[in-house]
Amino acid sequence: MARPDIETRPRRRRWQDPQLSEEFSIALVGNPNVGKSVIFNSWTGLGAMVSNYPGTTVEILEGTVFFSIHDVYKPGRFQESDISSSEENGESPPLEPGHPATDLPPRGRGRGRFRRRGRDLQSGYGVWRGRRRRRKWRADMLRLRIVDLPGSYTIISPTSLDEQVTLRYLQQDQPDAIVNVVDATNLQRNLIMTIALLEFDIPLVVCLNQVDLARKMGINIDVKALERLLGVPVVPTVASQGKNLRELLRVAAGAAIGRRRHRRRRRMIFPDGIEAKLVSLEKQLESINFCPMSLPPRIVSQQMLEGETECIQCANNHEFGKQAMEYAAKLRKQIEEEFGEDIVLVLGEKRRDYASYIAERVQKGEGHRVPLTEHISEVLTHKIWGLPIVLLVLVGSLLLIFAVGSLFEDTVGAFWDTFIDPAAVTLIETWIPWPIVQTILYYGIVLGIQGWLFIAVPYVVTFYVILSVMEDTGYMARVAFLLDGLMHRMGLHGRAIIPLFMGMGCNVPAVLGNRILTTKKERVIAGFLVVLVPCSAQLSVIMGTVAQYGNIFFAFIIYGIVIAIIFLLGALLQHTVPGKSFGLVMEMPPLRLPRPKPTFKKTWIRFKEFLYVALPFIMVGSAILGVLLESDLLYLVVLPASPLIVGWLGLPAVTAIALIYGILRKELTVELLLVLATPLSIGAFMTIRQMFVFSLVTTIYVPCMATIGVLAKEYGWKYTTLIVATSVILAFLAGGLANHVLLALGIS
Amino acid sequence: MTAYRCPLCGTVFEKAQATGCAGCAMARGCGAIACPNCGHEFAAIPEEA
Repeated sequence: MARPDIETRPRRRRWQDPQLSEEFSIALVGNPNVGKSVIFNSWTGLGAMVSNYPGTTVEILEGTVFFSIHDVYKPGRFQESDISSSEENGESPPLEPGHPATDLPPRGRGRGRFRRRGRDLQSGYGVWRGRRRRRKWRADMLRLRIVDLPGSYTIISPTSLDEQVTLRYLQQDQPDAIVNVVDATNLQRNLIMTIALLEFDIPLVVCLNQVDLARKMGINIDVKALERLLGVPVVPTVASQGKNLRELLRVAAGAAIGRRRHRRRRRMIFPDGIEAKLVSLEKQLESINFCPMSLPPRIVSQQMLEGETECIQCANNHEFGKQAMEYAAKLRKQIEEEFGEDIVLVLGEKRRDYASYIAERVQKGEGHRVPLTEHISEVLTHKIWGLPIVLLVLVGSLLLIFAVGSLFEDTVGAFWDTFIDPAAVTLIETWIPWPIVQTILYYGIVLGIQGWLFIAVPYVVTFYVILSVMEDTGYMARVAFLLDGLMHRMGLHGRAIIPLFMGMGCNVPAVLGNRILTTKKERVIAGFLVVLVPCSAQLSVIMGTVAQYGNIFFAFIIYGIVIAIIFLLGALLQHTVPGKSFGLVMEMPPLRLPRPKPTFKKTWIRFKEFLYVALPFIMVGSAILGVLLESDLLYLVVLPASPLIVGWLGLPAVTAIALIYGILRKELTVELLLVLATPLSIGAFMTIRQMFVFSLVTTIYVPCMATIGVLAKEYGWKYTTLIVATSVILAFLAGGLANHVLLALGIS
Repeated sequence: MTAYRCPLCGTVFEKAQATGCAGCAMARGCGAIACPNCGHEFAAIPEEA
């Protein structure tokens, strides 16, 4: 095992006893948000050093802690009752001397000589700078380097940079011991990481954190049983209160110096014939001496089966690597054929099953109180009921948006038409003598603000309020989870659902959100699909036209058509674009009631964009259109597009202007329809069929300029052109077909 | 340090780790932040203690 070379240490430390001054490293590994950093800070205090992992921007924390070697060999004083007793009444009982909770003194406290000298036992700052007599009694101190690694869900086949860094650290730096911090409230998910860590030939200690919270939730974990099943020491802790962290350090230090042997660890054995295949691949790898970056052959064999990128690259550079890859591919094919699923999903499921097996055996069921929110959550994410509930929520949201929009138009619209519009016209005609300026001001300011007010405000604000409530209550995560499952069945995978979901707000952040997708295949597919998702601006077009003047039912049909196109195109691309897809691991937040203040704050933050960016666009676009209308230049622009607009789509010829302006911003289309229809309403200017076709085409065709700009930046012009061309073809195909179908059905 | 929790995937991160601002028309002063794990964009309201 790699140890720092004593001879290369700084000269000023040469006087130290080489044997006892040796530094041992302990890595803190675990899922995100399980308390690793709390433990790290508690152990190292202010001695932490933040640094980027070489070659990456991922930060790792390092700190040094000194620990008496005599304490390592003392028997553990921890009793499980030490923690359990403190929660019985919901408050901490007075702590007795020697209680583990007292083992972590506040900063500046210590014992014996340490206390007299006013030094902190844990941090040991300035220890090696003392006088000679101090060196003598400090010579029995172990120097432990604690490394806080980024939170990771898996390390066998890492999918994120954080996970890659964790794996790279474990394989290249090889710590002397690993402390796997496990969240006791979510044991099954956390054990998946533990199972992976058992595969490494590095001493492992499991820190069962948040046992107090678990107990409050009615989850009692049998620590001894967990130790037996894993074959490694397990130390329960309450890191947030500093409870039992010294005992954890003692056990970890013992593991690091080799006191505790780790030969009894119980590694996972894959069921259903997979184990035999893994072992045969492992032997093959051992026979050709293929061991990339000092990883154990068992991990390499799993990586090869799962097609881990770095492992494949190493195999390509190895003399006999191709043979091993061919063998792995053969085994992979056999497993995939046998289980009918991707190998990553098969192995992931088996690991989850094993974690579930352990969790079920160590969690004591008595008194397991499941909160009401958990029951509701189960229903919301239910295999059968979950999707109908999502559909109900979607329909309910659209109905609410429509109701608010109608109410707004009926009340504020009437007020605007009666008072604001005549007053503004009088004001402009009185003060401005030039007709062209009058036109610009009337169309730009009066009609521009009117369009923005009646389209952006009621529909977009209501949509953002609903979105914020869904976020705040935790329902959004459940919808993403359910849709992820649906997408899997449609042939799409995991992470691709998130940008699609975000696209409902705005396509720009959704395209930028595609960056988190791991493979080019996922990014390309998501790029094509994201621009088809109706954003909040397109929602306002649908609601402001066909739903407002026709029937809300038509709005649902448009959504249905767009969703069907997304699924069909997604499934088609999934099978045509080469590459691989990965899943997304996400934490299910607890359900809670929405809070008004954060909801309105979130709504305002999102709405600001419509105020600062959309309003000027609308006003300028409206003014230009006004000038074109007044000067009869409009038909020069409209005539060339007439065969397509009038002939194929069955729309009034002037709507070509609205569609062209819609490329700037999608809200402009409906706002310009208002201007084009003046002095009539849109309902009198277009039929229901025309409004339906217009809304459908606007929803699908060319994304707005901001989205095109971001697409070009993220994908390059080649893919951007392809994406834009696809959306235009799809829009005019769907629009033309809808027009002819509606005509055939007798809907004018 | 101010921490943010993604309402979609639950990741806790700092502002420096956030992604997704480059190329956006509202690059300054929009008050939104994107999660480095799932990319979800949400209002930058720090997580409560």
